[in-house]
Amino acid sequence: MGLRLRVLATLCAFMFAALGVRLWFVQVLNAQAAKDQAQRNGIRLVAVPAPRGRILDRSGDVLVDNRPSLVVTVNRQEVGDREESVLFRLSKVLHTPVRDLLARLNDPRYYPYTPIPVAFDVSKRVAFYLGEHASRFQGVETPTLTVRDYPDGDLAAHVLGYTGQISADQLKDPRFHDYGQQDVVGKSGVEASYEQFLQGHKGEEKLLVNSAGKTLKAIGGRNARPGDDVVLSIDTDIQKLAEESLHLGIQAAHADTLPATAGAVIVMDPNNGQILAMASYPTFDPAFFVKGFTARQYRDTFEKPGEHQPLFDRAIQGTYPAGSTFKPFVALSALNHGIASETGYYSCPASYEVPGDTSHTIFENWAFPESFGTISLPTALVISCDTVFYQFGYKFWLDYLVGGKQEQLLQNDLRRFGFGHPTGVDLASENAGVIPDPKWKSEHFKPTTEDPYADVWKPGDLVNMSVGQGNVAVTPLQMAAAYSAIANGGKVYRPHVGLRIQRPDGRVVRSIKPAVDDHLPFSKQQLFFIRQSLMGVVSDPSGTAGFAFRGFPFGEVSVAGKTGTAEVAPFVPYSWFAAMAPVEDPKYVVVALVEQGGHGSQTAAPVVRRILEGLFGLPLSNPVTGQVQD
Amino acid sequence: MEITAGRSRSWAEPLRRIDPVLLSTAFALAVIGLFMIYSATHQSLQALRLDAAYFVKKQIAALVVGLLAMAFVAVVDYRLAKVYAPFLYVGMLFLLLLVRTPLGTAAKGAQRGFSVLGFQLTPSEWMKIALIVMLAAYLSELKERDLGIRELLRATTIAAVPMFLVLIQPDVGTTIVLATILVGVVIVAGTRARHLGVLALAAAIFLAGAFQVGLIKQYQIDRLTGFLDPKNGGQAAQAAHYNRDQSEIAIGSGGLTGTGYLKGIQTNLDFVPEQHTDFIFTVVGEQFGFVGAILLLVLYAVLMWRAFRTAMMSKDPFGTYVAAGVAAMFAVQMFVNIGMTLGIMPITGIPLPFVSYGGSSLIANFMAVGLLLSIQLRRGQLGS
Repeated sequence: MGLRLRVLATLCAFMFAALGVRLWFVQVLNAQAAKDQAQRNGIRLVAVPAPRGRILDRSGDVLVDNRPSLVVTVNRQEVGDREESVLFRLSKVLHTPVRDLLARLNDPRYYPYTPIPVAFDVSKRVAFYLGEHASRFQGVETPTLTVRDYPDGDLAAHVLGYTGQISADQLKDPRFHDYGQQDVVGKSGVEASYEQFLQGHKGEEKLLVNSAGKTLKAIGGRNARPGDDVVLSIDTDIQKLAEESLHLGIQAAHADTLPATAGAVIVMDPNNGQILAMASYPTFDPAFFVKGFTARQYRDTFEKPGEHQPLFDRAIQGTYPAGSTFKPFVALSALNHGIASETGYYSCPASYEVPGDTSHTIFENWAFPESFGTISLPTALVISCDTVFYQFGYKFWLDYLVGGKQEQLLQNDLRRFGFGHPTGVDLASENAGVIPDPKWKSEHFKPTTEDPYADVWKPGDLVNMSVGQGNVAVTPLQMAAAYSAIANGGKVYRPHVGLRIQRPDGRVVRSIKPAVDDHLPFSKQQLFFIRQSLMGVVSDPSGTAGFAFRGFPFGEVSVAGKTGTAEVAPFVPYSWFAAMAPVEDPKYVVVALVEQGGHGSQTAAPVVRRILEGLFGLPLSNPVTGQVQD
Repeated sequence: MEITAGRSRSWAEPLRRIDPVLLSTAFALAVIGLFMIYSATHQSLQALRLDAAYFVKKQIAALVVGLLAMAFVAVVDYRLAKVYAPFLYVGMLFLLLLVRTPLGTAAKGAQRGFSVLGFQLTPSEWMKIALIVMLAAYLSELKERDLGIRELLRATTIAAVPMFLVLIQPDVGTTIVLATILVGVVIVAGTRARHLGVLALAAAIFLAGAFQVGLIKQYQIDRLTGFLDPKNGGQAAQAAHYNRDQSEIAIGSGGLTGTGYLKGIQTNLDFVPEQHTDFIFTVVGEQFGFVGAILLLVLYAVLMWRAFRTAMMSKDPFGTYVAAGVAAMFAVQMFVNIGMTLGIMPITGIPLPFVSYGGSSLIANFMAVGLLLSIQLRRGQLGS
């Protein structure tokens, strides 16, 4: 009996030994892994979104705000194989074709298997209905998201830019290392360039959850830090004035059968580089990007032929031949290098031929076949005599030859105005433009059988450059910055739209100070001489903008300006006008460009005139397409 | 029979023979169980806006009934059980049949008990006691000291009938416990090793046959074998795998000294399933760590020791067999239950003796202790 009991007792002892050994393994040797796993199981971290900073104009008016929006999202992973029926029901509730819903879900901008918004700003009734019938709308949720709000509609749309879900490429960018797949980022304009301030810092809530995912209680975390507000140098009133004027000018051009397909206008304070208004036409409604869209809707809105790429910001991205608006810069360079003098007289024939040119290429004056005889430099600017400047261009060619083909006197001076490289404005995707030189030409042209010297730097290149043609390409913003430097006596300010960064409560975090990037290599006297000369352009009846500025009260506000007619074969010329006022102490520089707007005197000058009238509180004129005077 | 002999003696004298170690160990386990049940359930109950001590209160009620039942069994001469063993046995068989009728209630896919006054009565728990007594009664009546194959087959038949009824409930866990009781008692009764081998072979053949005719369901096989190969297997194996993983994480995260009472992430947040019943050991493991788990094992060891001691001191084979059966019952339940939470035993619905929530099981366990006490109380009365 005792022996058999001992057999049974021994079996029991083995059981205890087995359990003890196993406990040692599980609880002592392997404890850390289990502890980590238990932590992962029971504690859930939930990101608390940080409200994006607002964008304000210089006087504190809100240009971009936030607002809550009821959104319908679909998570494909949760929908699973019931996608067809769920989308069909959803299409009925949202009154949206299934095809559009599918297009949204297939939108490459979103990560698959995350909740993808298919409808924004749905009514509470719809959200309630979807919640009530959750079983029939598997994977469908109706969260309230914070979206961008634009109280002034499309005002300054290109400057403000738009936001969107972070792209896969951006996520790989180290600058976005702490962003998540669902995060909204600035895609263009100030939204993109001031992203780091606008974004804020996400908060994190640490929640204790049970196995069913139900939150039991919050166990700490950290608060979200809202993004900072960005205050712009933009003045809402001036912006409205500029956009309206550009629009009216383009309408007037249309009435005069000019294509006038697009344009840009900039109002800048020449004494600090602050951009007071900047517009590009055609424009877009940034709210389009708030609501979400299908690829087809995007194409229909922005890529339709005849729409002329409304997302393209012509003020900083469009590059154009400068045309005659270049002449003040060329004149200054000529004065600087002894090619021209303030008291000199120059012949203004109907056409010009480069001496010794065996091809006998004829460079005509715009007034061909009229000849103006021998004229002063101011007159050459006022009537915009091309042939005078062709001769300057040829002189620069001679300097080039004398200098052992090293000299780039004209190009160097033009670059110091800010041409040929980005101005450094605080906006994304600025274009550099082109100031061509021998090296650039050899890189961008290849010899052909027709023209075996196509890649060679020739006198014609400098002759063309002297009137802002050839391969010269400038942005309207570069033009505004360069005229500002003439206006303020030689300081090349870096243009900027940001004024300061401040906390939501108004405490200033950072001020954006004016930055002088360069000083023009010209004397105060030379710059004064040019400003004085340019007054005749608008006030002299023979000036190229004389007709456009007919009746302007120069006694109250003195204006200096310059027209430009950029030849862009095979199109109707592009119309330029740049102005500063008042000339004695310029407070504003205004630049307008209208693609296929004809001559500078025709479309751009009346636009600038109206803006100047608005800036100085004068009665506003209606832009009438000006006479061809340049 | 001298069953009335005790009356001539002093009423108080048997009290001195009461085993305080056995009694306090069983009681301590039950009280530990109350605390563990509270820890395992209060959070979920609060989430449902119910009384956080709901399960604890029910368990306390069962504990009171269990203690009374134990006292009753201890006071009554255990040899009476030998007389009434067939009635007990047949009565329990009847109840097991009755749960299969509409009178029985189904829970989690199995029909195991009756609902009486809000309490869930589970006859299979008491069947364990009845089987111990029935086997002990049968084997102790055998004249030959050496158990033959015929007697072994009869004993097996006695166990097989309730095993079959429990298996089809289905309740694989209790079937295993009943089988272990049979093996434990026949070993002590002196069966031969090769006869046990024949028995094991017959069991294997029977189980294979049962599976073929659909008596055993695939999920039961999956659950039983899932712990051997957790990566494969059917849905039940996957679910079992999850349970086992969560259970192991819970126990493991307790480390050496535990997270502290009511501070278990796994157990207090419901990541471990069935944690107040079959997986109650995870609460001990997580909240009291290796030290607490070993202390609990020590308590079970003491319980075993007192059961074997009772078997040794019993003056008749019946008492020895009963005590051995009780020891086998406690041992297999403890081992399979804790082994299951540690991933070394298949997942079956076996409660941890005295600790798991469940009134019928608690009462049956205290009745078993009552049997041991009764045997101890009358160890000196067989002289005549």
